[in-house]
Amino acid sequence: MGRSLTRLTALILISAIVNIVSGSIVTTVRVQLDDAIGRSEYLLIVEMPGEVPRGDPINLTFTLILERLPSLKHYSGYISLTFTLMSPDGRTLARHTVTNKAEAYKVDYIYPGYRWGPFTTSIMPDYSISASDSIKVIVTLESEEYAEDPLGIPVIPTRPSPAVVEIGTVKVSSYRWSYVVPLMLITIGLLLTSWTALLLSKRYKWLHT
Amino acid sequence: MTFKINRRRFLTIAFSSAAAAALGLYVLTNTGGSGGGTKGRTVKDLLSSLGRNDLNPRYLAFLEWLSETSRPVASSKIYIALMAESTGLALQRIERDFYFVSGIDAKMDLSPYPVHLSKTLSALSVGTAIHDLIAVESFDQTLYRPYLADIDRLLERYKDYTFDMFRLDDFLKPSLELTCYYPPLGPKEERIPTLLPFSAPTMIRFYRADLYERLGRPPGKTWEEHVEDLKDLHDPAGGTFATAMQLGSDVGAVTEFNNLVFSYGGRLFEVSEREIVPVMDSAEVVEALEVYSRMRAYADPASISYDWDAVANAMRRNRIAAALLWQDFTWMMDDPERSMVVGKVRYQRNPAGPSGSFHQFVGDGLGLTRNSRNQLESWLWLQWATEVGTRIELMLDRRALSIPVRRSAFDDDLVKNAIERREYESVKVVKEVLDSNEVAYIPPMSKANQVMFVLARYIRSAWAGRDPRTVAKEMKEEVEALGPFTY
Repeated sequence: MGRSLTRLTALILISAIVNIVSGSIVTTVRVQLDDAIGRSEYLLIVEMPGEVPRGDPINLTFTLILERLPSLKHYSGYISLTFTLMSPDGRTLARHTVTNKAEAYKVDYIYPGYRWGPFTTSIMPDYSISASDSIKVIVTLESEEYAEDPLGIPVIPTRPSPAVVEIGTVKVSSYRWSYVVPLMLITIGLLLTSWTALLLSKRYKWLHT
Repeated sequence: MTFKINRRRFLTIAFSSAAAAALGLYVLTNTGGSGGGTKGRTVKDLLSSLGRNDLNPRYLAFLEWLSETSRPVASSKIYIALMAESTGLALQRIERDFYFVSGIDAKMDLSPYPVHLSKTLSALSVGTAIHDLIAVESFDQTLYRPYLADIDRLLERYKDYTFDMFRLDDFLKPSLELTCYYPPLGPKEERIPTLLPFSAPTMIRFYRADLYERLGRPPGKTWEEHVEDLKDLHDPAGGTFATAMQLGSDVGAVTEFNNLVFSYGGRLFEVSEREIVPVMDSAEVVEALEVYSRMRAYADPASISYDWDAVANAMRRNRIAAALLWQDFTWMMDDPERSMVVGKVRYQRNPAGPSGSFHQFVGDGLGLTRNSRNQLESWLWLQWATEVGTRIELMLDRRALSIPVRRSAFDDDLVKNAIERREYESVKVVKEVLDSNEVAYIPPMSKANQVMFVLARYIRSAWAGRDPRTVAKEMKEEVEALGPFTY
């Protein structure tokens, strides 16, 4: 019983370490696109790792919701998000564009409320360009939005100016198991405490009662 | 009590402590996430973080239930095809509530009716399981019936996954009769619920209150008085036509005309056991055709190419004084960004004929496809889309003013108070119509598209001046040739 419990706790420990390594940060940002007709609003939610080992790709999971279109626009038909990874001194480490057509199921009419995602994309930064310990993640949103003609029929495609927003920074760790270090320190501390308790209990009988 | 520590116990304690520490760290570092599920937060807090506040209590109660119930199927994906009409558009605007609370990724695809029809029927007819849920117009039920699951069976199979306040008989009676059960007539045990009512488009009269005030009289109560009003309101030289009509669309022309057919005591079709019979050559239909075609003199001449969207645009762009239109378009009349006539358009029941005032009703319902691989997830979404709390939200949405398809929603204080306000006048008018059950309808038929095409062609010819009696006779003969319309 004691041995199987030990094995079980060891298993839990390992799975927990794996989960901790996948720890992430979530950024929610409102993005606006402007043109002569008006302003459209999008809600972008991006989940990205807080830290990535040098040499590994960065996995980004995003959800984009079209919140609002100006009065004369009815829907969007094409949206793209470009993720740019930059070093703190402004050098581009990678750029990757995803369009809504990358979805397995293609929707022709993107009306307000439409939710694109969650969609996961993986980007490999060129680590040889910069040795810095952080990477900025910048997103560019573009959308083709359809305005109505004078009879009210939505046919005219418009291309508002793209919007660029910085959504966060990913730390770059120099070795792969950086999360293990604090965990190991905690574990060693607990082991020492347990060991001390064992010694004390053997030396002093009163601890047994 | 003695407690001895030996090596085995030491290892157990040490590993347990380490595991607890690791799990603690995991919980601390994983409290966010863009995926669905409440992840320890209350539903209210979660939605508030998405900017969704002031939600009605019944809606929150349902979402709390959904949060618990959906756990076994969170992270799954379903596909839903809806028509790009006001209720579907409004529902899409709040879809994030469902996704973030349940974790079920419901992909909504909204398209204009003709695109929706061809897209969904082509997928179903070749047996592909693309869509889990599909919106179906009431008169298209026969086309979709073979592909849809029985609601009764879903209720039985998923009783542990059904909200305890869900009641099929809580849906509005016309919606149940014309949208939910199939076939349209027959013994109760043979009529199967296949669609949950989703929207209740109903035609009512839109009119410019300021122009009628200038005219010095309220809108006429009968069709005869209505035509007289149109005559006096018609001012093309001044930039205003009295009305616009939906002759450019097959379904538009037939449904608009059907308001008159019922109020003159006629029918386009009789529903009998196992068959739908064309009866559009009656004296009542001829009289309705005659009155309908008299409106031509006062209508925007471009009506021959107009569908309901174009008529609504003419109304909001200050080009016409009155129209018969789906209530779904009322929201845009008071939207200052879309309308040139904010605060000037009011709503009333349709003019009456000898049999009373009738209103075309083309409810649509949501059906769960038989070959869906995600029936439980789809059943949860279906409940959310038709739940009382959801329908209260959609009705209160000033960009939708969607008719609640649930009776309980009309009993809610929020709704009761709202429909007394001018902004919600159109909802009150439709409620009166549905309460009185004075609705005109077209029964579900096979070959509905071909039938609509033929009917509309003859209605246009009568409108353009052909003899109504000849038109009615030829129309019936040509429709009969498409039959028999059995079910």
